[in-house]
Amino acid sequence: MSIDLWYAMIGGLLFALAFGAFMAHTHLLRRLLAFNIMGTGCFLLLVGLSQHGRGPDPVPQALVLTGIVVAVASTALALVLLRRWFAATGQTTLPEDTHA
Amino acid sequence: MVTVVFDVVLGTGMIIAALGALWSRELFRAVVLFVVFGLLVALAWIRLQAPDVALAEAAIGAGLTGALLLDAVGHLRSARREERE
Amino acid sequence: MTRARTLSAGLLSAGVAVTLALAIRDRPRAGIDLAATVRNAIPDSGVEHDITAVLLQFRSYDTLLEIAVLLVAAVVALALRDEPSSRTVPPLETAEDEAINTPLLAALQRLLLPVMLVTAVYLLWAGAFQPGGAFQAGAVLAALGVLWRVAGSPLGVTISAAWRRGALVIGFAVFLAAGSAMLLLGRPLLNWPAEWAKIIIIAIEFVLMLSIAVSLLGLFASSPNAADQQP
Repeated sequence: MSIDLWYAMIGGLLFALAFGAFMAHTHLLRRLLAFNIMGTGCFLLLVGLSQHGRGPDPVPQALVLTGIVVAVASTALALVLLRRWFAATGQTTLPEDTHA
Repeated sequence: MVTVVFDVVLGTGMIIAALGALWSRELFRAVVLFVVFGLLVALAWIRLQAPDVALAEAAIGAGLTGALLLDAVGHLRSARREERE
Repeated sequence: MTRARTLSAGLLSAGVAVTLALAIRDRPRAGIDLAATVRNAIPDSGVEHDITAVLLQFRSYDTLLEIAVLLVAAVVALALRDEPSSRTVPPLETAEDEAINTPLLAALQRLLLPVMLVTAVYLLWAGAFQPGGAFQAGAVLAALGVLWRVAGSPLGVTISAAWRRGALVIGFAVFLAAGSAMLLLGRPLLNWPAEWAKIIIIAIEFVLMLSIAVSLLGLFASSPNAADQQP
């Protein structure tokens, strides 16, 4: 097993764990954390698998670079929406989850 | 041999930090562990021979996202405290 | 958090983990070797670093869309943030009043701002032949902007809102204009001619750095301040 495959597997495990946490939590900020970790898992999987057995591959690395910036943009936007929701309703969970 | 140990330790550290970030009881602790996770992932990118990605992950992924989340946690906490008074 | 919810989440998580493990084990052999393709095409790209070439020459469309996403997020965040109910940071124009004024922070700022500026420009220029480029430089500049906002303007310099908005838009605008100009020259969109590629890429990376920095700064909320405690 090469380094790349090891980190790809770690990335897959991170994705699965964060996915479970995303489903289990109702607090929106925790779901956002889980979403970010799922994204990181995807990136590790993408680069690790493509480089396994072959050398460093610039195309997936460039895609991941783009992905990191898009992830931070969506996280920032989600936080703004979360704060507006909190200011409007005083809740940090969505209505369908508050009675769960 | 040393590199194998390093990779195993780094991978395990990443999983532990992620579990802490996902399942910590306090939100503040979860975000701090998320920043730690981000920095460990930056190290992992170095091991994957992706220095550009490591730079971006450390600065944007861990630094900026961590700061944004910390600010949100602080905001939620202070609003809760005001509510209770 | 009910028991049923946790249980089903755990089952789903395990299912995803097993599926991914099987997928990794049974993955098909790669039919193409992109690394070699990129390596062979580097001389035509105008830069020597493979990631910069991929970002700005071979897959420049992805980078264009990424800048658009960042711009949209920054605009929406700035627009929504001006509402008093959600505001925890003052709008950028009035940040001067809420800056933290301690001697330590002022001294740190005096030392750090020039260094960060030089580092950012160096990262931008170095991206042509070693790790670096517009994104990393933009992140360092954004950090510079955060320090500026938290510690107050150095030397009393203020940057008007019009300049800030201009910087926000200029990256996407120049990138799109340059890419469309290629259409007028009869080339595919965003396809730079080999002899002009280096100049075009450096110019675009420069405006991208500015835009990324201002967008990231717009997305970021600085230290808490008096406006936070208003009802």
